[in-house]
Amino acid sequence: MHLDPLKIREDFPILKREINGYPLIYFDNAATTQKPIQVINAIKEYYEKYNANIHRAVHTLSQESTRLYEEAHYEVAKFINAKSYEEIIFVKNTTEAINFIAYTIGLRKLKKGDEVIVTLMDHHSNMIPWILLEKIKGIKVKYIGLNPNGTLKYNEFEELINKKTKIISFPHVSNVLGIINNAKYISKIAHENNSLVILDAAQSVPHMPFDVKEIDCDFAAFSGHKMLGPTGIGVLYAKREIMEDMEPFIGGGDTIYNVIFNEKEKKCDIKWNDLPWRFEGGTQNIAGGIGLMEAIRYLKKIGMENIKLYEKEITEYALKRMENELNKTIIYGVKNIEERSGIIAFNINGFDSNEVALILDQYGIAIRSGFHCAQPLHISLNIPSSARVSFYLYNTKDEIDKMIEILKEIEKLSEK
Amino acid sequence: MSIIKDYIHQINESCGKHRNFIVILRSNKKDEAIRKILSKTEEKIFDSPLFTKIKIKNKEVNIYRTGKILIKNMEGKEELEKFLEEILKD
Repeated sequence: MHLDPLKIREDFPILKREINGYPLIYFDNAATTQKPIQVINAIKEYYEKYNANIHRAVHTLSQESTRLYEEAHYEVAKFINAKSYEEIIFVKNTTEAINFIAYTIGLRKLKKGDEVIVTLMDHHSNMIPWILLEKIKGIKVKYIGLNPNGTLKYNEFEELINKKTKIISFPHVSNVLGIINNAKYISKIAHENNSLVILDAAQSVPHMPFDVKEIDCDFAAFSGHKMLGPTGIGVLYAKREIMEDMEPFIGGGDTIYNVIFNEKEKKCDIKWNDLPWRFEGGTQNIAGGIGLMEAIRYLKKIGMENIKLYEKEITEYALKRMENELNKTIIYGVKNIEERSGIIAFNINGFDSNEVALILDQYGIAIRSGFHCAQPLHISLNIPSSARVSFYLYNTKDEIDKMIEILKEIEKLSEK
Repeated sequence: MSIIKDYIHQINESCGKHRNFIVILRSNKKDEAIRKILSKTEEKIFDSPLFTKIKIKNKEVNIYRTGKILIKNMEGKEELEKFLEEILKD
């Protein structure tokens, strides 16, 4: 394995910080990740040297910023093995990407009575857009259930899917349990039944090799800030053949090729712009796109396979220590490390998840507590709420050791 | 409300039927606020280096040395604010 976390940590200025008198241990990577100096510098350099609005302008500065922004689309396309940059639409984040599909394909192509299948494992961001559409269009949202260990009930896909099913939308990796779903299998079932496939890839693209052609999803959504990039930039991968006849989501500058006012009929005749610019109305987050490009270059240099293997190693280490040394701790999700990513949800008997997170915070350890925007998952598994640690390439076994020592102290408290 | 403004920097609310609130005290008023809250203790559940758990008016209050306070099982923000005014007054 060619990944040296200590060397990598040198690139992350924030990891030198102390929180409450202790060195920062950042275990909240499923929420957002820290940024390497290369990404910070790329954004700084953009504002110092290239800042101008993209497309249209003839001046040199605009051409330079346009080139960088377009290059960012090429970089994302290569990273996920899309056919071309035309399939890469920049949005704010995963949430906006899913809403984008709901308000283009969903609103315009679905009819009353059509069905959308999601799962009880989903983040609220992959449920609420469809529930809203249920209210607006009268479509029906159906839910794939969970087994007691949190895995999807795969048999329910074949049970729920029918001629009315138009979209199946699901998470590649659970943001609570870290369970990796069989995206290829679900895509295959969906396509056999003429349904579109939307993959919430927010927790997979940053952590493992990801290939849209291999999975054969029609759409994939992910966020830049969860993969070392800046906030406010995300990606919607959308198959060209599905989007080429689609009108814009947000109308405005850059979405059009021409707007000709027809004097005789007193109306505008519009010719839409090419993909993907047709779907990027208004001035975009140019610096964000450039920051994301730099983040991808950073990840590629380390290697996604190396990142996946390293996360697997430290997650396995954490799980073993937690299982063997903590007696009052319940760990959720599957046991098999091959089926899970670097996310561990747990509870300590007698303690609320917020209590655990607040205690760890006193020692500079940042973890998440609550529902993690996945309340139906918690209800389905009868979990009141959960504490969640989520790792990334800069975390170390030493940091895990420090957390476990505090967790042991918490367990001792419950004996009192 | 002025007591809340004087002592409290931020309030975070968790999801769920019964809300948990994480109240972050102003750093320059932290010690004074904690003294006042502890003086209202009706039951000390435990006092450890990790945190102090007490009961006031049948509500569990956890006090952390970072100046964060966890108040559990409130109906909503209105009830919380009344409770905070009560526990922070002289």
